[in-house]
Amino acid sequence: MEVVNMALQFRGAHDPLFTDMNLQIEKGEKVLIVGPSGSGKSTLLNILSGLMPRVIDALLEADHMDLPDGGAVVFQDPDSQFTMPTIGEELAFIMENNQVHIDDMTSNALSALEAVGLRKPLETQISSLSGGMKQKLAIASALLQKADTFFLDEPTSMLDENTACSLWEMIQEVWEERTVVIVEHRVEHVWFRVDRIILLNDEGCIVASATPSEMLSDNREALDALGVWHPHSWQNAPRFTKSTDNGAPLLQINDLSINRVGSELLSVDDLHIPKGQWITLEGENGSGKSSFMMAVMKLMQTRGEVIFEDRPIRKTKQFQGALYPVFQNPELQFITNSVFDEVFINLEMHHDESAAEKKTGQVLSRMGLSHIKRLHPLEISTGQKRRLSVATALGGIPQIIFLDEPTFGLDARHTFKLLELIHELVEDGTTIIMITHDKEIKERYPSRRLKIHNGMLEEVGGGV
Amino acid sequence: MFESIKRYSTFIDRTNPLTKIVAAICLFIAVVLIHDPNHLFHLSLWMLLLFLVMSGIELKYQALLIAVTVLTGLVSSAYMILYGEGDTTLFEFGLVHITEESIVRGLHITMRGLTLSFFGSLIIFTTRLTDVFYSMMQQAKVKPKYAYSFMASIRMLPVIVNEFITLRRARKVRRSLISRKHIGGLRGFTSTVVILLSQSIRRAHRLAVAMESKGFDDGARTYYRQTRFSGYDVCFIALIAVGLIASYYSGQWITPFGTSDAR
Repeated sequence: MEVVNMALQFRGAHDPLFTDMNLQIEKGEKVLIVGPSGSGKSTLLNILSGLMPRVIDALLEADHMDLPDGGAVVFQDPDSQFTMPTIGEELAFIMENNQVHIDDMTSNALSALEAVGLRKPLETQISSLSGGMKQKLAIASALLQKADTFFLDEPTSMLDENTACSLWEMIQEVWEERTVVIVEHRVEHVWFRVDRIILLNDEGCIVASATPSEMLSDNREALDALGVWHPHSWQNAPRFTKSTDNGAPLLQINDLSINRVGSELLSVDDLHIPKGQWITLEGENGSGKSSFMMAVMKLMQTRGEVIFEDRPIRKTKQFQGALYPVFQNPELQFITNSVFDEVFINLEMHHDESAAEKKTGQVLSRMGLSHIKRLHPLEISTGQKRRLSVATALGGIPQIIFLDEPTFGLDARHTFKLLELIHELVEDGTTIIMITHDKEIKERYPSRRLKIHNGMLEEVGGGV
Repeated sequence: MFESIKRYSTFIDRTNPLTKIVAAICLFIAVVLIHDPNHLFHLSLWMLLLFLVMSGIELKYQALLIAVTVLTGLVSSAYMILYGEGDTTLFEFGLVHITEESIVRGLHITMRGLTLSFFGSLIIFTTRLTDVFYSMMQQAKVKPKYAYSFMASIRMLPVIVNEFITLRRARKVRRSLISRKHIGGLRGFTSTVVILLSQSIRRAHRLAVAMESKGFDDGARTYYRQTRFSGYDVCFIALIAVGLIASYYSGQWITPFGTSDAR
């Protein structure tokens, strides 16, 4: 596949995203495209897979383009790539499109599922599958398209560490002679499986194209400068001295029990959370980490006691913002039409107008959001949205901030920035409880680690 | 959708969804045109029997559904019973004026509701939603473009509900920190709608791209589930027809109501 002097511009955009792009991918080659957020990795993939401009509108020009027809695409979000309610019907949907005869459908579907290691009956509801299984189903769908080229658009970005690793193993088993083009920012499990890595910069230009080991040895500075994840990224991570002294007790949880559809999901016997601790909470997908956050916030029905500063808490509003959650999808937390207002409305109740405006400015600049304060909260980038939702917490001066997977989908640059910010907050006496899957974060930063195991909340390295 | 509460399946599970829809429309018209409460009484019993025997779902769900249906049926006719007009007064207190005629009229309405609800429940528990669309494409020649879009959008509904729940929770947290004007009234409503819509539109766009990338178009295709008209459809229509005719005759012999016209 080949593109020569390709240029692309979105309708209504000021500047083109790509100019004079030249790219060649050999038949059977496995290529990984990396770059910072906003560099156009996914757009490039959409062009190569022929979805742009055929399905997604954009202005595209090139001297020469030679693209495969009918490549199979696997997308990032498991929930927005399936049409039908059950596994069998979903796989059949693809075969129906290709006019496969009905008698062959069941056997084809079963062998595709076998190839990806998803051993579930065809009647299984897709909604009952875990994220990893959904992505396996997506790969099985791609196999059924009988395409000789696979395009993978961040297929593991929504999966936890172990699941991501085993998914890449499986993909490597099935890709065989096919050409494979991958866009991914979580690269630790795929880096050394590909033949070549292409690095894009912020302007959407190709700055390097090399084998995985050459990329690491020759282009390390470029990778780090662009904030792109690579297998040694964590060597650049910020280092802090862990604070070990425990502050005054803040939150106490006794005999908490969380139920889901009739059976007990999680129980917490006795948990004390003091001021100024950095705590991580780990556990498998679906073990009840987010539910724990909701339960402590009194956002869902539970049995047991939550005591904050010696007062028993029965309703969310009793916290008065002292305990503040930042959800995985920050968009759902926004209320106003601008980044500035989002923080300002928290402060206007406690200060007069000019003081509130001044303080809003301070919070925004601390979060690195000053330059976008007039934008709508929904039009800023993922990293910025996450920082904005932390900023809305700061307006209320919280004592405990609950973060649900805060580094999810962020590039190295933004992850490290966020970690620095969290460290500053902890230094100032705020307690951070952070749900995370990231092994490096769990091992490097927290002063205390909690883990959900077999429906119980446990302390990692010592009793609760 | 209801596999988890099904005990057994009957031939109605294999009846074409289109037949069921057409039968439902015919039954609706018939029920509206029946004015003799005695006929309707027998018809509603027939439908109750069909629901109990043919739906195949667990007894406790049947019991629950019947209880809810009867209760809402009675409540909805209460207005007609309590404030109705009529000559034979049974009870009068202030505005409340219960007459024999108003009771009959009220119960007539209740039985209409029951007949249609029992039949509706029977259909719902014996029909897979995807089969409705499959049969619309194959028998009613609806374009795949519309049928699959509907199926895809049904998959989206629970996601939207979940997002709404999360959004409500987020607002509950922020409510104590900010002025009521931001999340109350029209402003709160607009921002909720804007956020949910923006999420849904983006998701729908992603799904549309995914569907096209899988080779979906409006052209020729094969079908995984073949739906066709068969002997089952004839049996199904016969069941309904027998019910209508039998209730007409039995309504003349066994008459729990003293009148033959509820109007």
